[in-house]
Amino acid sequence: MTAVELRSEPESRGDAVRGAGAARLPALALLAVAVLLCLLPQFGVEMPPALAAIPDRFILPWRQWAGEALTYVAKDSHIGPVMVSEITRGIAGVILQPMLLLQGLVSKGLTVGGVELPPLPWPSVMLASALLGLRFGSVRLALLTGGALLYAALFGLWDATMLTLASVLVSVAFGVLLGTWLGILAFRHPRVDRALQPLYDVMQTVPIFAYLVPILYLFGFGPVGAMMATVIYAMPPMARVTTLALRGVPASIGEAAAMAGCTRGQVMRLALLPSALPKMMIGVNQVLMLSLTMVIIASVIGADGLGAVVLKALQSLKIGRGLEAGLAIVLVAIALDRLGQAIAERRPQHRDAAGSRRWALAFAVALVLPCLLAPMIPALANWPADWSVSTASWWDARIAQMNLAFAGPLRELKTFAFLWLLRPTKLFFLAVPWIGAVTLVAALGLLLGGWRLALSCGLMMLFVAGCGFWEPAQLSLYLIAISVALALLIGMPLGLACAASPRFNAGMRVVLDTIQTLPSFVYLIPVIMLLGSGDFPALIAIVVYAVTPAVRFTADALRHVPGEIVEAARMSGASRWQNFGWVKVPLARPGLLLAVNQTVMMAFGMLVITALIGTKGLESDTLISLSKADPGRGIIAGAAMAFLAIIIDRLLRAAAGGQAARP
Amino acid sequence: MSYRKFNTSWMKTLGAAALSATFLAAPQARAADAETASPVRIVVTGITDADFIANVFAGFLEQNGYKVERVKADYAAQFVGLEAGDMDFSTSIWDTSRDIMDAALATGKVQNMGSTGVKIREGWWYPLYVKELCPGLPDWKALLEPACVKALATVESAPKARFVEAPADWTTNNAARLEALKLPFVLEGTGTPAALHAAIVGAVQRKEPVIGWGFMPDWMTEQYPGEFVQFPHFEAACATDPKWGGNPDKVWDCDNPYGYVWKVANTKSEARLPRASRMLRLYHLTAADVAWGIRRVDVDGIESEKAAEEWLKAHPDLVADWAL
Amino acid sequence: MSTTNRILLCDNVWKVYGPDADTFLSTREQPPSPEDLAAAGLLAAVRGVSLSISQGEIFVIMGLSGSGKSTLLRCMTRLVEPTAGSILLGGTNLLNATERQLMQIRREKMGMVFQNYALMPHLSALENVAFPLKVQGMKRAAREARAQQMLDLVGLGGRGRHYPHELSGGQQQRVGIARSLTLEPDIWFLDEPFSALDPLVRREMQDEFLRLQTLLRKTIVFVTHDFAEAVRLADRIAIMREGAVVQVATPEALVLAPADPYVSAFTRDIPRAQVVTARSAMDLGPDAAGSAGVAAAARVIDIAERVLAAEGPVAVLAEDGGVLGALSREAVIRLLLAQPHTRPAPVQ
Repeated sequence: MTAVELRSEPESRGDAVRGAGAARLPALALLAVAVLLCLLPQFGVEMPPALAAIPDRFILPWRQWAGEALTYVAKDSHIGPVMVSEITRGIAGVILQPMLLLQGLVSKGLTVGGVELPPLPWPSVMLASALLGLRFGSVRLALLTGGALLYAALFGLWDATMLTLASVLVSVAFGVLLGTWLGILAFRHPRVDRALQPLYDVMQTVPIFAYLVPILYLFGFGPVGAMMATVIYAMPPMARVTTLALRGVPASIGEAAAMAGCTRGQVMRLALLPSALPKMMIGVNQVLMLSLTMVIIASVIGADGLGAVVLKALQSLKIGRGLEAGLAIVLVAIALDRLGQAIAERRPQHRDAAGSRRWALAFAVALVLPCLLAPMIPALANWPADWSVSTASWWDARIAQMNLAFAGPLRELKTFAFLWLLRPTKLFFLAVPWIGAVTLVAALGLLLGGWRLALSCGLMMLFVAGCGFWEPAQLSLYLIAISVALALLIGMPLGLACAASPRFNAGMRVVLDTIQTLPSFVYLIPVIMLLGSGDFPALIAIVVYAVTPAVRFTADALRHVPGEIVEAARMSGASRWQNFGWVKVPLARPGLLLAVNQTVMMAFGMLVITALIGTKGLESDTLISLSKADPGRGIIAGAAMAFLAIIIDRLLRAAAGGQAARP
Repeated sequence: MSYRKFNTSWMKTLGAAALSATFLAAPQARAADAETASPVRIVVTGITDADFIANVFAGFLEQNGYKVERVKADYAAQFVGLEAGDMDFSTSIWDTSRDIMDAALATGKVQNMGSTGVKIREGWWYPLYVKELCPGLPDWKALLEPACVKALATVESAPKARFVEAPADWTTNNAARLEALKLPFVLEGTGTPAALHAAIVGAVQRKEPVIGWGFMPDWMTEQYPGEFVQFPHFEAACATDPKWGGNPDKVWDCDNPYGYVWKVANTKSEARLPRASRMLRLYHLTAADVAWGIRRVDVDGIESEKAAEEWLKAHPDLVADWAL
Repeated sequence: MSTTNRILLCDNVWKVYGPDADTFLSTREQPPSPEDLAAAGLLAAVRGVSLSISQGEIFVIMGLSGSGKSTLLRCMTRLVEPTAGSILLGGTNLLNATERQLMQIRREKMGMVFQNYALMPHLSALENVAFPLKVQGMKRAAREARAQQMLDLVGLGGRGRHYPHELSGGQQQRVGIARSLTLEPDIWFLDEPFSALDPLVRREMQDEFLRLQTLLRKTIVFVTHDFAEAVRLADRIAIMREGAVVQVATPEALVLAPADPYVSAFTRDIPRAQVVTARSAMDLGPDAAGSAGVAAAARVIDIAERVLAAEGPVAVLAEDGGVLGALSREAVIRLLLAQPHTRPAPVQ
């Protein structure tokens, strides 16, 4: 043990909190100046225009540079005599194969050696999924996995569901492989780790529209482009979790492998990775859920499947149909999530060996038997049309009713929110001078982390101020600020309740999973029908989505307060509330800050959707850049968004004392 | 509105077999030479009118022995595919998105294949009952009346009126128009056609005053009785010369031009698909045809491909013109 | 101990953590003190250790946590790269070995047991034991047969299909022991193998360990923080403190002649009869009665019963059978009664 402790020490010492004592006074002074600068316009003090907004002549032509660079990379760059795009297209071709295979298997049919094979009949897929549930979980899980597919068939969504399932599974597989590889790399080389962390933040916060054009150029059209977009957004948790999981493997396991005569590669492949696997499954699950939240965006850029059904239905306001398809996404997501968890929590048993042959047989029968029967019984090959049901018209009628009945009261609410919350906040943010924002960020950096943090955050803010998108940046920030505040206000008490009551927690989990995977358009379009588009529905979209991490991480933080300390406090005679306020909350502080952090990140991630319902911040610039053939605009606006997110993230993490580990 | 559909892949297999059987004997099948060996990739965007136009042409090519791949793409992103040669044809480029089309044409990798003949009308659209609140409509000056402005105002836009603006990536020229005509309106953003439709239709269902960006052909302007505001008629000078029109200092003191739906192709595709390219140039529909398709799809709830098939069957005479 | 058959030699081994530790060490003429190192921002885990370990010996490294004992063990196996010094294993300097050579040496000559068992959670007991063979590419049937033998040896023959989490701590460590012996190593490294076990199980495992050693006669380097365990198992003990070796001696010599107060603090709780041999306790002079004597190397605690039951003093015999002296009942009783915390009365 000694050796292990000693060895890890030199590395972990670097990130400790600094400057808490020494730099405190100047930092506080700077903070006061910054706050003053930010508030001056609120009191009607006119700032010199050069300090309020950076004058145009000082704004560097970032946009143009970025556009030219992107165009070059996508269209003209070479490695030796080979075009980069040819290489990437080759890669795309390789990635496409498993996708086509899987899609062919479950939906489109395959051509093998000139013979056209129909896709797997629906009972095969349904039975096999139910069996998977039974194998790794329980009858309940089997009902969930089989039931999700039954729902899809019943509502006439079988094909779309199969396409979505195929593309999500391939995306997840690719994301997991890439994430594992990067995670290993970061585990072996701390420097690589440090370089990758901000990159992951960028990947998760920059809206896809900002880099869609180069992606499409490099990887071509069709499913691969959509998959790349999905992987970029969904992969980072895998890489992060992999590194953490590998760090969590007892050093002695690696040593044991080395002493057994393993090569470096064997130590990783045979010992460390398998030992880290159960924890890595958390990452797999994250990739899965995030991939499913990308289904709508993927269909915006051309993927077929449930997302396309939702989008198409909503385009002509067939909300019932959109809801049916949206719920199919939710069911598939929850089924896959629970199945993944069951597999992750499963530990090998010595009895397994005997049973596994029987299971294999059961799977084979489930898969093959319907295939053999299908040519004789057409109902097995294709779900018969008259077995299908639809509740769409019922829903549409309800929505229409609601539109008539609730528009009035809801508008009152909206008016109230707009007058007292949205408009004042918006005006406040728009009035903040750039000099104030940069100073504020630097002062907070100095106070929380030290001069290095102050410098990096200040420079990033300076870029945001000076890249030509200051006003959109303020509009994005205003939306983020309000929605994060609301999400925390709603989410933290719920998280508290979750930590206190396992039953509440179980119920909440289903709710959270649903709102995390139900395409927000499904409920946003009715909201827009009722209240019009713009900031208010955008606010709802972000709050609904960002409430999830607020609840989860709050509950998590409170649950992980050591029981002994709480008991000690109770034995000291602390009341319930004293115990909560004086013991639990302070102890859970790093975890709670992480909850705030994740809420902010999720809110940034959701901006891409708000662009689609008409907000005017940076996110909308990334969307507009696409149709104005102005890639530089998208990439710079996207970079500004990423910088804002990273600034907030770094400051919050510094506030948490650097203890808050990434999920 | 229940969706009851067969397994499409099964249908496709059967359908393709039936089609090829039928057309092997037909005279057109003689053209089934090298050209038809590789698939023709046609853009579908998921927008009803665009997909109907694309599917009619796709179905037509299939009747002529071609294998057609319908490539699903975002409207704006399709140009990347057309430039890179991932797609051959796109049959539904609106004048509204002139910028991106011109940029694509400027690369020299995409060429204009002419108009589809489908006229588009787009502009400030309102449901008929708004006329009662703003007497004088459809003349645009009615929008300047304080009573009208008040009726169309919302809490966000007050004291000005609200205009439900098209998605930010469409070229509407509305910001310039507001200034040029001194219209007391605020543009409320919508990011997608779905949000645009929702914002307008939601109000229409409640019979509330509303005005916003409408276009034809589209299911909304098909389904709900309404009109377009009449602005001073567009002339080329209006967009470039401030002196033109009622406001001597500003451009766009006029309506948007009435445009067409255009067809484009990847430049290299013509060499590979000379016959299909010629058919594309000849391919044309009318706004009424497209409106019919939109009704079939969005109102009656059948699949776009099916609707296209029906249309082709019903108009053999028109179709014959394209195969000349 | 004899120096002719020594198998492992550590010469002035240093392990220093921190930036440019090796240049700092090599530019010094005098070995740096812990204060020097701290001033340079360095942290020394092992400071100038020299040891020689002989064939067939149980060599125990004893120290408190943080004393550098585990690091020293890992330097010997090069799981940790020493900063300076040399480590000779059967004549070759381990520190000059390439990665590939090192891998070969580990496969042929070394076995290691870990404090927390370090079993692969995804492999069954049998697969864990077979792991070192799998790494070398041995066929499944052959390696599992061999692994089964090893499991039989540690008394776990019937549990091969169980997974680590299905086994108790003691059973898991038996698997760890079996795995470390699979490749028939010359040197067997054990890093606090029994520290994580309950006292009763620990005792049982120590007995098991001694039983195996009588069977296998390995050269053993055994790390522990438990002095009683060290005394019980060791032929010789090295006491470490702050990275340096304080004293190397037999358990008896440590107890009887601790080098400094630090060492004697450990020895205080050790019952004298447990470490003192017949040779040290006997009276000189051929005054022994009876025919059957006791071995000179035997510990008093193990022969006390016989001596107390005998009529008079018992002969103490050298290895060749020659009589060295006699052990009296009084001497034995005195040792048995000796308060552990006081120095034993001088032996007459």
